[in-house]
Amino acid sequence: MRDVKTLNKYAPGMPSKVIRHAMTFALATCPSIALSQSQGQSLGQQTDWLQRISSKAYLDFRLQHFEGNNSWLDAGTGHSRFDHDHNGRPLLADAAAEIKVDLKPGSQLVTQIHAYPEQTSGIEVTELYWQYRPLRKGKVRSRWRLGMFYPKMSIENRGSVWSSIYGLNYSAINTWFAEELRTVGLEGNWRWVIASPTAHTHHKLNASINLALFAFNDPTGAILSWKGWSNHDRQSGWDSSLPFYPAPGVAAAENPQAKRYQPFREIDDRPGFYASFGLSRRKQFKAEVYYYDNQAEDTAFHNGQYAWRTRFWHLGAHYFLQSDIELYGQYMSGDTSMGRGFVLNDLESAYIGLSKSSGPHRLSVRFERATVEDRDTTPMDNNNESGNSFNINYSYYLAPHWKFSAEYQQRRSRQHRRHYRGERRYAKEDQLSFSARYYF
Amino acid sequence: MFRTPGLVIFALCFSITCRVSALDIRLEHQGNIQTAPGAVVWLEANFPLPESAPVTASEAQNAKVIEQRNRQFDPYISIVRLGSDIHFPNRDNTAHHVYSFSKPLSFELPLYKKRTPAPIKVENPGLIALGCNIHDWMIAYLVVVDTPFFGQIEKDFVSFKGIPHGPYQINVWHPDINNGQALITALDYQGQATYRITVPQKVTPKAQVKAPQERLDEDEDY
Repeated sequence: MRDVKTLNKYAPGMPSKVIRHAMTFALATCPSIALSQSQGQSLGQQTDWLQRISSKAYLDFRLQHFEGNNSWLDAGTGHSRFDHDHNGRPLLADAAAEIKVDLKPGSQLVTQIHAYPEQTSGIEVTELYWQYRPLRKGKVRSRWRLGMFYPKMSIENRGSVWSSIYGLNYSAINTWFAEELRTVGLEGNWRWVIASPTAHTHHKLNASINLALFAFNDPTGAILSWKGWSNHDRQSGWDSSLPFYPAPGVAAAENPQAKRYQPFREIDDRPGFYASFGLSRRKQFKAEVYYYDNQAEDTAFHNGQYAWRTRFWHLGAHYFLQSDIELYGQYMSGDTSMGRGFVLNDLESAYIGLSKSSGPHRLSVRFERATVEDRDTTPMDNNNESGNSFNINYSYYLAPHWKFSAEYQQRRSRQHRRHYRGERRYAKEDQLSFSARYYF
Repeated sequence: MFRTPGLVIFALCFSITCRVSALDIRLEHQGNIQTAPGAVVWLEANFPLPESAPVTASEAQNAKVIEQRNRQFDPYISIVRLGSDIHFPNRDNTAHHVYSFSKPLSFELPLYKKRTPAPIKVENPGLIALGCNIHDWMIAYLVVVDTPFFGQIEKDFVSFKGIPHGPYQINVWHPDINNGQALITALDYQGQATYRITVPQKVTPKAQVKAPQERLDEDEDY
């Protein structure tokens, strides 16, 4: 780990600070524009600006019962967001908003914000980007995004403010995206029609490509290695810092990981990339394959945070068995490495979901498996984990403002690191949740 | 008793003098009616029109409203006379971005919530396909013609009134008929009540693509 220190000299924190300040500034200007324009409304000239701002928000009131290990957010070895401390207590689980400002036709500033009053951190800015959709010239439509945003890999999280449309707790893959995966960079998307509507369908067959270059996602992979896969709905924001407990073998290293883990940091000054190809026909199917590589220099270390070289393949698919029955799933397989193989883990997860909707009712079930396989020989840092989970959710959408859900989630996992804390490796986690979400 | 023949004779004399009358145009395929709701039909006279013909369009004919309502264009297909003003009011509480790259008219119009921008004048005849840059499924068609005789089939026919006798070119257009190419036939109009146009292939014209149900809990941009 000696070369880590040498690298630090060449990995100054300056660019990250500049960008962080720039993003904070941009975020601060959004509401101030809104405010100044609403004052200008009385003048009658600026109403157009108000017309340019649109927002979507929700408040999620939750009641839950959990049985299992204490939450990782509360120093436990459990993987859920809420634990038995929250049992039977009414919770404001999430206050979320998305604000869009139309700057010019096709050009928008978009931000998504979550506040989790039940957790320690305050407001999480989960996305903040500029989006540009030029008018289609010729056959190809394009979309550009610049800033901080989710790659559009998730099949579940197509809901308002990146929530899942099928349930409360996300699948393991999407929970991981929520915890520590974000693009802070530039993404281009190109979409074109490869087949016209047929006699059976109104919709065209589209092909699409995404290409992105990004930074600030060097620590990605740490949470999967040292905490493991989870199923919850807490999304990390730009300045998130999460509680973190490296295994004893790593905690004793020359450069110990800081107690708080910060997923969105630039550590090695090397950009990462991802690329995708997908086919889709609206109301019929979608299939998309991604390759992601953060290209991190896995010996870099800065301010208590390590860079993790994380790369994976991701496949997302969505198929309408009937117009109201959907079959969907995601699969990822990859690896992550820190300290030139000091920690080296294979990551794999897959889920399959089935959802039936009928008017305002929706019933969804999901089965999944998630594993971490430790391939290094570092003593006292065994990251092996294997787990299954099952989730069933019923929701009722009382248009236009309310959605009520009831969900049962079961996780069974075996994780070696629990042993370091004097607990059994095998853990059962069961959670029953009731939610009333108010959308406005 | 003698009134009826008298009236008939009077009507005949009148029609011969003015040489104008009504015409129903229908579509058919192998003797069966071809329905084509929304198909547009226009008649181009191959002779100089008499002064009594409605050479100048009425005011109602000079303006057309194509609304954006429930994230769809309404109407789906329109026909207007050259020089008309097209209004694009946005009745939705969401922004639209209407555009067209068609030869007769190329434009883009950002339409914020519930806005009605200034109308756009169509100054070239032809087919204009309209789209929305935000909502992919939104498509509408506008046919601009340089003739006073145009109409739209409601179910399976369209009526024209006050047409001077003479040779015409009849044009029929619908996105699903004849692969989106105008059907063109010639008619020497001498007061026939009905004229049937044969379509080359029986088709089931598709309705406008429905907008997905708008729900606050879903992200339609995803």
